[in-house]
Amino acid sequence: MAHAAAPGRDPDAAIRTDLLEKRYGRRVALHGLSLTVPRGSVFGFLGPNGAGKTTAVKLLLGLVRPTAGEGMVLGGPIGDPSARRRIGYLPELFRYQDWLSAREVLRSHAVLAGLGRERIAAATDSALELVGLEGEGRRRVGAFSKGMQQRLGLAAALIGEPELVVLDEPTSALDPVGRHEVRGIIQGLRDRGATVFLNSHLLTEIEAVCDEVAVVDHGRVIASGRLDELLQARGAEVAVDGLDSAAVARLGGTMAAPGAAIFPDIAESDVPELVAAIVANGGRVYRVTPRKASLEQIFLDWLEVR
Amino acid sequence: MLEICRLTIIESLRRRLTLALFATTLLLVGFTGWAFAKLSQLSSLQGIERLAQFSILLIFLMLLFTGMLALTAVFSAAAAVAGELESGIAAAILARPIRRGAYLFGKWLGLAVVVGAFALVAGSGEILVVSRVAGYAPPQPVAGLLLIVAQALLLMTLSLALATRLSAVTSAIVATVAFFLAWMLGTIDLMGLALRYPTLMAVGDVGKILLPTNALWQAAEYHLEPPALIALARGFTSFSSNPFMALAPQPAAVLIWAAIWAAIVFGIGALSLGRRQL
Ligand SMILES: Nc1ncnc2c1ncn2[C@@H]1O[C@H](COP(=O)(O)OP(=O)(O)OP(=O)(O)O)[C@@H](O)[C@H]1O
Ligand SMILES: [Mg+2]
Repeated sequence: MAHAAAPGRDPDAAIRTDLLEKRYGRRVALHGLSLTVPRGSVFGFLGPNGAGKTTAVKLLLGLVRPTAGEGMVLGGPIGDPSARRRIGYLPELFRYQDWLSAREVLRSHAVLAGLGRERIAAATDSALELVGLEGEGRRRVGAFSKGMQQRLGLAAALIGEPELVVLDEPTSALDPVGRHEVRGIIQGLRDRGATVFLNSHLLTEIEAVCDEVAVVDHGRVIASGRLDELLQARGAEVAVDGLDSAAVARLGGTMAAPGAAIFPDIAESDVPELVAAIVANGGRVYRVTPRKASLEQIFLDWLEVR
Repeated sequence: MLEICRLTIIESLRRRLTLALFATTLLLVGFTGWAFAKLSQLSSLQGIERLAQFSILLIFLMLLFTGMLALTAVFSAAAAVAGELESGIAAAILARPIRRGAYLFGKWLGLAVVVGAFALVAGSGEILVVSRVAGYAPPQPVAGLLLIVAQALLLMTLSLALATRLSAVTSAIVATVAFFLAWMLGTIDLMGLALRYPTLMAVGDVGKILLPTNALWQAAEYHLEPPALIALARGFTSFSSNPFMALAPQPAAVLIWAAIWAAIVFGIGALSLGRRQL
């Protein structure tokens, strides 16, 4: 579960942070961040602009130092080079050496990640293919479009089958087809058993691929949990007559309009009992519609609640 | 670390820095050869006078070459480090299992190869062409050249360390200013020696400790001067403060200190990069 968990509770976590804090001068970019990302999960880190998502990722990779708190990534303390061997990272502002070819960039990332000589060529080929750049390997990165550069960055993050892949807004420069492909890539990573930490404010993207999410705003986690639980159908709209509003209220609902009652706390499994109770009170049921939450609605609700 | 070194060398090849340096070398050596050929044809001087003429001219050329080399080293190091840090290229690299000190040392090594190769090829080209066309060779060209390379590497290290925090242009300018400042302090030191005036000498010594580049140049100079000329010049007090002549070798301590200085400056650079937010 992605909520405030003390380190040590889940030794199998891919990422565990405890009150991680980052200040830039007097500005607090991230207030005590405590979260646990289970191994093998796809974790969505959501939040509006300036919320602290990128700061969190940079802390996890040791690119900036926390001003307080601690964290573990793949069993090592954050910033530990040996854990970074098994992490792939796509930065938010991706830039690669203009004067190298795409293949050479990937090669150097493979070498730096400690891949054996014999694996490098094959790993480079498969990474290029995965992001749809297979024909472009020999071209100079300087001649790439922005979207192609982001694809290259994605390939660099995926090279050598890392156990943890950290993607900071991986589709910011991609066309709709590319976004769809990234979804496929993330699902492929999950199938392989890798953990994915995905920063995004694209809710549909998160909704499509994530197992767990945490929402961060102004440097604080304001909500978190399993995505399927969050999105679970909650409440039902019932087309009904023969009931007055007092009777509806007794059953836990409200009349939204004449002939339309809303029961916000009804789970799908409780619907038959609800219908029976309405009938027992003299009501006639025409239609029951489950109310399905969208992540966007939940996201907006969360930001408002805070 | 070796991978970073390799990338740095490739960068200098692809960005045509190497090509530019190679072209400059050809121009430099060609021009020097032509000028010295003319000089040896037309000059009527003989014996020690002829020796003095050639030696002083060659040393002045080497001094200009040293300046060129220093600027090359300073600017290429500043651009290689600050450019990569500012563009975000470094963030992707430093998220890999590489220590920041190793990254910086890889850069240092790659740049040292480029700068060193340029210095050795162009510098020995100069000396060789002069000895061919004019029949004059300095007494210890190898030691002299190596000291000139060492001076360039010292300035390169300074620029590299500065570029872990400052922009490329600022780092390069500060390192260049430091180079000239060391030279000025060295001249003050010579004045102090000539006048036997302790305050001036102390200023010069402090300068030598803070930035030993000029001391390395003077050591190089000494190796490039014919002993007969030094013996002669020692007879005149006015020569002892001539900034274009070194009448005494530098003590070995200067060389050792220069190496320690480079290590310290590099260490400061590595620390500063280690603490930098990316
Ligand atoms: N280098 C820095 N110096 C000063 N403040 C910074 C720095 N980097 C980030 N911040 C501040 O920290 C806060 C969080 O920034 P961060 O980049 O983590 O946001 P984000 O959630 O990634 O936003 P976005 O969706 O726009 O990418 C912001 O208020 C930002 O101004
Ligand atoms: Mg961001």
